[in-house]
Amino acid sequence: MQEWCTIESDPGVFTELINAIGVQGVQVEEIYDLNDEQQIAQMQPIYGFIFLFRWTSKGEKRECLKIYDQDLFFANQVIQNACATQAIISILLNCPQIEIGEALKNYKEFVIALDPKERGNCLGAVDVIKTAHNSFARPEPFIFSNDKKKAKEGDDVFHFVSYIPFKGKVYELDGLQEGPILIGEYQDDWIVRAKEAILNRIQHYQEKETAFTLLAVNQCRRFKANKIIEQSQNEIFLSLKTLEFIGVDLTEEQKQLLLQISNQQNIEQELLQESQQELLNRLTLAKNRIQEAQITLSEENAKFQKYKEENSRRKHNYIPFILELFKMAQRKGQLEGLLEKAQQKQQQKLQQQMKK
Amino acid sequence: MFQEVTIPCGKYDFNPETKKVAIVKAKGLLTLCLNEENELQLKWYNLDQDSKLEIERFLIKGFTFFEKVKGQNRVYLLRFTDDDQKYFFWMQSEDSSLDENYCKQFNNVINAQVLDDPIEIEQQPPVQTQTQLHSQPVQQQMDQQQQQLLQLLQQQLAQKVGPGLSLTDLLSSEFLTQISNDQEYFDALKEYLPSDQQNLEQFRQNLLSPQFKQALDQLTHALKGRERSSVIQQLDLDYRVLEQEFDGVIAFVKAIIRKAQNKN
Repeated sequence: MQEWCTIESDPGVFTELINAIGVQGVQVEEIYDLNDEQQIAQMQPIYGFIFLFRWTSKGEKRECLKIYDQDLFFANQVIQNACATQAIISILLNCPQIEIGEALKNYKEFVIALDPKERGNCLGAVDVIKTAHNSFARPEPFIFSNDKKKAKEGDDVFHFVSYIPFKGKVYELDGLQEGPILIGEYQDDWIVRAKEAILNRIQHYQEKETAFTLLAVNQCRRFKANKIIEQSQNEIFLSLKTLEFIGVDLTEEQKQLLLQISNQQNIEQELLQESQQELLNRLTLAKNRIQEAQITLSEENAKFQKYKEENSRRKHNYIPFILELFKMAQRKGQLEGLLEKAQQKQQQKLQQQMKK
Repeated sequence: MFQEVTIPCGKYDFNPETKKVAIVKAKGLLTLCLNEENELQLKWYNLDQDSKLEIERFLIKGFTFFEKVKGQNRVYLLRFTDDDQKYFFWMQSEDSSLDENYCKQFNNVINAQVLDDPIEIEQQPPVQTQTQLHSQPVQQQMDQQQQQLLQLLQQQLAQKVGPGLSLTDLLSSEFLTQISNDQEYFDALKEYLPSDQQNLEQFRQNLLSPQFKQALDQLTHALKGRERSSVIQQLDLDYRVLEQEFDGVIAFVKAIIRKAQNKN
């Protein structure tokens, strides 16, 4: 049975991974400052947070719930290299508003009656997920006689912990604990509650000088932007139609716009009960929203293009490229010069060090 | 079937603090045995100290070289391509003409080891024949030898100061920037880029990307590791450069130069 490989902890990797397993409209983003309310607002809706940190020791046992809501999905982490993928899935499976796709739906149905350890085990058997995960593995260009060790020295081993809202409560889901951990209840904004717990963790790891990262699993911004554009266009359509109805002369531009949008709208909708001024305001606001959304769209498109390029490079085996580069340098008579220069530089460095 | 060789010889001790090689004036016995588990076991016994076992070590074919030290009288060196440790021995049999034979036997036992990978390692390099016999008294001879050995060791140590070169040291950012605009380099390397990035602009971006740098670091690590001989072979280059060049990265460069020279 093929093993799970180590993959890089990068938002671009995780986003593509989620899409590859059939999830729609969701992305992963890094959060640099949890207190930056503007950034957080732009990322909404946020479905969950993932806190990842460098794994040093066994870690303390926390107080977990032995009995919890049957609908809350919790699984133990059984496969070391799948920890990131599992942390993400634990958020997705607890979020009814996300379209999770066939693979995850089937997995959830299959394991719903099993205990957390078994659930973790079964994750390893879901081929679609394992294949997608492993497609991000770094290429292994050489065959070594001791190939069994997959995590080499120098590889960072990270542990992943998720935070989610579920039916009025915030939970911490840690695959290495025995069950979900209750963080607290919340009224309107779960992030306020989750923030406390996360900031505590951040402080703890900053003191210990351990590397960590915070990620958000949120609605795909392009998805959101497209929805805004759709809704705004609908509003423009209604506003114009109502203006027409109440006898206001539309400008040429407005007539064109009405024609354009009505070709896209199929459904008969009720006209708005507003005054001319209100309708004109509505028009302006809708147009502004569309503009903003289109800027977001082009920014996100550029970002996803960059993700695509980076992922392509991650999966690429550069050894033939490197070899040919050196051979080319030799053909052009530059190779010996490069070696000399590098050795000279090193000598200089050593001499400077010895002077100290 | 196992093979074994026993050589009467003394050893030298290397003192890392004083950085001096000191002859150990004791009668000794060196044994090398390829046992039933296909392991090469090396042992040196101090016969003046009641056959005390003072050196014990496992050797690996392909990474181990045993050869006469040039310009020295009856001194042999056991060295490794994957380890900094060195052992100097001085032959003690009454008949010095047996030295060469002992050395051959030693290397034969090493070569009898069976390696798992299909890569065949060639025979050890031919043993150097003795140049001239010194006619000086033994004590002076040993002092002179000690001096020369010390020099030799210091030379080799000097090469080892510092972590050695990495591939990123060779491909400086200056050089990479220069070639990123070079049409000839692009033409030669285009097909080795990721398939969706085979244009000049992407060529430039790839050379500057963290993924490319990571690949260079990965290859550097492999070239400096235990299996560097295997790595160089898998790159279709001559692994024998490693016999003269300890640093895997420099060996890699020299192997490329050598390959190009052989073609011409």
